[in-house]
Amino acid sequence: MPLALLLALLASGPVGASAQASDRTAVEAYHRGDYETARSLWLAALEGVSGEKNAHPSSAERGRILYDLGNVAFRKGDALEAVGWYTASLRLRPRDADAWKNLEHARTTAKLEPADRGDLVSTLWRIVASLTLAESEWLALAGAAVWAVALAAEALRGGRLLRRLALLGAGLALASLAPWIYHCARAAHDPVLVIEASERGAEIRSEPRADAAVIASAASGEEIERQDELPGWVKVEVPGGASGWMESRAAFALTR
Amino acid sequence: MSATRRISIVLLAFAAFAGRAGAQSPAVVRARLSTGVARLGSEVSLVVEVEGSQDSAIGDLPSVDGLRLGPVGIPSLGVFESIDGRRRVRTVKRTWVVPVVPEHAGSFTIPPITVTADGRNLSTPELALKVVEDLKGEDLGWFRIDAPREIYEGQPFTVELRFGYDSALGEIGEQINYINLSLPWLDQLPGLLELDLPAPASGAGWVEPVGLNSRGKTRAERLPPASENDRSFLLMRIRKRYLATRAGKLEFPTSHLEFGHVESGFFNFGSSEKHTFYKRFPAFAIDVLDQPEAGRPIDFSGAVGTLSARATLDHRDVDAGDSIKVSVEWTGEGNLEFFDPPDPSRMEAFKGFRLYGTNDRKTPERRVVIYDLSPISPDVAAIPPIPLTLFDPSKKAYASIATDAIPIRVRPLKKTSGITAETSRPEPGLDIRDIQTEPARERELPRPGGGTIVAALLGLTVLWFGLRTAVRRRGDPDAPLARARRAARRALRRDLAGARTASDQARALQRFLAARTGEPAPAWIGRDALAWARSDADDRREDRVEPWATGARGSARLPEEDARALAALMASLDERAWARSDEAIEAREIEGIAERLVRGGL
Repeated sequence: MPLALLLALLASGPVGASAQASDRTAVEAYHRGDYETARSLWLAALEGVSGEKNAHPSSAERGRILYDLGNVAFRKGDALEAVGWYTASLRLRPRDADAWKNLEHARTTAKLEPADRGDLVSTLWRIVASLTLAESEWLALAGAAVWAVALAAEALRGGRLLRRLALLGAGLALASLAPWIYHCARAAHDPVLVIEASERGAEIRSEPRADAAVIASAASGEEIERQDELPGWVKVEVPGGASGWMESRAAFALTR
Repeated sequence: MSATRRISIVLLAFAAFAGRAGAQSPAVVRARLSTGVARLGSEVSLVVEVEGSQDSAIGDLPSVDGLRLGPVGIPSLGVFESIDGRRRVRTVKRTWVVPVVPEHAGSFTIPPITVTADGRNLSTPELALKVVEDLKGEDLGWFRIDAPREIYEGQPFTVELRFGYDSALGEIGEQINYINLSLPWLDQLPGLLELDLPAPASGAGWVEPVGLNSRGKTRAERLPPASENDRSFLLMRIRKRYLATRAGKLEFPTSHLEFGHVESGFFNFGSSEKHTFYKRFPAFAIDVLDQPEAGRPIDFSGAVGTLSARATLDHRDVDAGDSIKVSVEWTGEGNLEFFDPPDPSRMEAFKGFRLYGTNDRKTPERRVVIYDLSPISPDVAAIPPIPLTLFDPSKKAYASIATDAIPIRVRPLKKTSGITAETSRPEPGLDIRDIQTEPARERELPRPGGGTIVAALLGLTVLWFGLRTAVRRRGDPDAPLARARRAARRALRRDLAGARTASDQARALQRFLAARTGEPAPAWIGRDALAWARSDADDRREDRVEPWATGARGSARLPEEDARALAALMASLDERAWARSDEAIEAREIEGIAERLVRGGL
C-alpha cells in the first residue's frame, strides 16, 4: 500500500507544472502592465486548456483566477466587468477578504450600491453565504450529530430538561442547514450580471434581433436569471416573469 | 430680444438695485413736461406714462390758475420686454400727451394727477413750469449737454451738463447769484439706472447751490472759462452717470439754464428775482442698442465696456498649502459694478490651486476681486492668467481680457506627507488590492452530499423514535421510582456523609437498597439478603418488583458472593446498632459494597 501511494505521487508530480508556469507568466505580464496577455492566460487556465491530465483547476484555484481577472478588468478601466469577476470569485471563495475589498471598491467606482450594506439583513446574508457548498454540507451534518446526541439523551432518560435540549438541538440543526439550503437554492439559478455602462442600463428585447422591440431594461449591476443563450444574445428573465433577449456583451455570467 | 441676452446685464443691474427693481412689478407712473421754461404763447406738453399696468386711465386734470391743461387724448400703447431677476417681463406702457397752454407769465406748479392703474390710484409727481414773456439770455448764457447718441444696453454712460454765462456779468455770486437748471427728464426716463459718479479730481472748485428743477439743490464743478465768438464765459458742469437696462430710445426733452440776480444777494431760491436770463438746450435722444447675439461667449460675464485687467499678489514665495491673495483689478469705462467676476475654481488652469474665498469691492472707477488661492503642489510655478469675457462697445464685438501670468515659487512642505493635487495622486487605501500570485493549495473538501444530509436527518428521527419506544416499553425512565433508582448511589453517599452511628448507616443502606429494588425501605429491616438474592422470577412477580430492578444473571437477583457481602454488611451494622457503643463503620466499606451490588445487577 505505501508503495502504491508513492507511485501515485511520483506519477502526479509533473501534473500542473505547465499550469503553474503559465500562471507565473500571467502574473509577470500583469505586473508589467500587459493586461491582455495576463487575461488570455488566466482565461485559458480557467478553461483548463493546458492539455494536462487533471488540468481543470480546483474551486479555490478557480476563485483565485477569477479574482485576478477582476483586477485585470479593473486596471483596464472596466469597473463593471471587474464587479462581475469578483462576484464570481466570491461564489467559489466566499471568505476571500481581498475579493470582498476589491468588489466594494469596484462597485463604488462603477457607482453601484455596496454589496454589503452593513445592515442586519446584509450581515446575516453574508454569514449564511460565507461557506462553500462542501463546508455547508459538513456543517449540516455536524448540526445533525449534535441533535442526535440530544435526541438519544431524551430517549434514554426523558425528562423536561432533556426534552428542551432536544428541541434546542433541533433548532441548531435547522440553523446549520441554512448555508446548505442557500447553496441548494443558488444552484438552481444561473444568474448574469448586467454590465452595460450606459445610464439607461441594458435593453431587453422581445427577440434576439437588434431591431426587435425593447420590452424592458436592466440596470447596471443588476443580477438577472439566464434562461437560454444564442450567439451574441442571452435570454433572461424580465422582472415580472416574462422573458427577453439581451446582448451578450452586456451580460456577465456569474457561474464559472 | 431673447431673455438670455439680457440676463447678464439687466439681471445684475436689477439685482443690485433690488429695491427699485422690486418696485417694478406694480404699475409705475411718470410725468414730465416738454420743457421746464416756456415763453408765453409757446406750446408745452405734459407727458404722462404708465408702465406695468394692463388697464390704466388718467383721471381729471387739475385746475391751475394761468395754465390751461387738456384735453386728454387717446393714449399711445407700447409693449417691450426686459428681464427682471430671472424672469422675462413683458411690460405695457401707455403714454398720454396732454397740451398745456400758458395764459400768463409766472411760475406754476402742476399738482399731482391721479392715474388709475389696475384698480389702484397712483399720482404723478408735482411739476414746475415757468412761463416768461421773453426768454432773454440766449446770448448771455452758455449751455451744453454732452451725451452719447448711441449706446448698448448694459453700457454705462455719462451725461455732462456744462453751463455758464458771459463773464461780463461778473463773477459768480456777485451780480449773478441765482442759477437753476430746468431738466424735465431728470428721474423721469424709463429704462435708466443712475449710478454713482467717479470721484472728481482733487482741487476742483465748486459752485453751490445750483438749483435743479427749482426744487432740489446740487453743486457744480467749476471749469476754466471758455471763449466763444470773442466772448468769455464762466463755466460749470454737472455730471450724471447712467446705465441703460433695455434697448430703445431715450428721449430727453428741452432743457433750460436759468441764471440771474435776486434781492437777497445770497443764494436763496425763495427770494423774489429781479432779473432772470434763460439759455435753452434742445431736446435730444439716445439710441440704446441690443447686444449682438453673434459671437456671444458661453462664459460671457456680463461686462460691457472697454476695460483692462491687472493682477497683483501679496507674496510670491510660499509653501504648498499657503494662502496667496491674488488681487485682480479691472478698470476702464464699463459696468464695473455689475459683471460676474471670473471663478478660478471652474478653470482648468487653476486645478493646482484651492480657492478658499473671494473678496469683491466695487467702485465706479474700478472693480477689485481678491482671490484667496492656495497652491497645493510644489509643481505650481505661476498664477495663471485670469480671463474676463466682455462686450466692447467701441469695437462692437465680444472680447476677452486677461491678467498676466505671475511666476511664483511653491516649496514642498517638510516633514509631512504634503498636500498634493487630488487628481494627481489617489489617497491611501483607495485602490484595489493586488492580484493573488500563489496558486490555491488547499485541497477540495470532500462533499458528503445532499443525500447524506437528508438521510441523516430522516434516519435520526426514525432512530430516536425507535429508541424512545423501546426504552419506554420497560417503563418510563422519567418515573419517580426510576429517577430514585438512578440517584440511589448519590443519595447513599450523601446519607453516609451525614451518618454518625451504625444505626444511621443501616438506615442509609436500607434506603439505598429500597431505591434500587423499588421496594419500601422498611422491607429491608431484618431481611435475609442471601435468601432474597436466591429467589426466582416467580418470587419477583409476587413481589411486584419493577422489571428494570431484576438481576441480569439467570433467575437470581444477585450473584452469590455479592449477596453474601451484603448479608455480612447488614449483620455487622445490626450488631453494632444493638451494641451499646453504636459505633459507625467506614463509609467507604458500605459504598464499595453498594457499588459492587449495582455492578452485580441490583
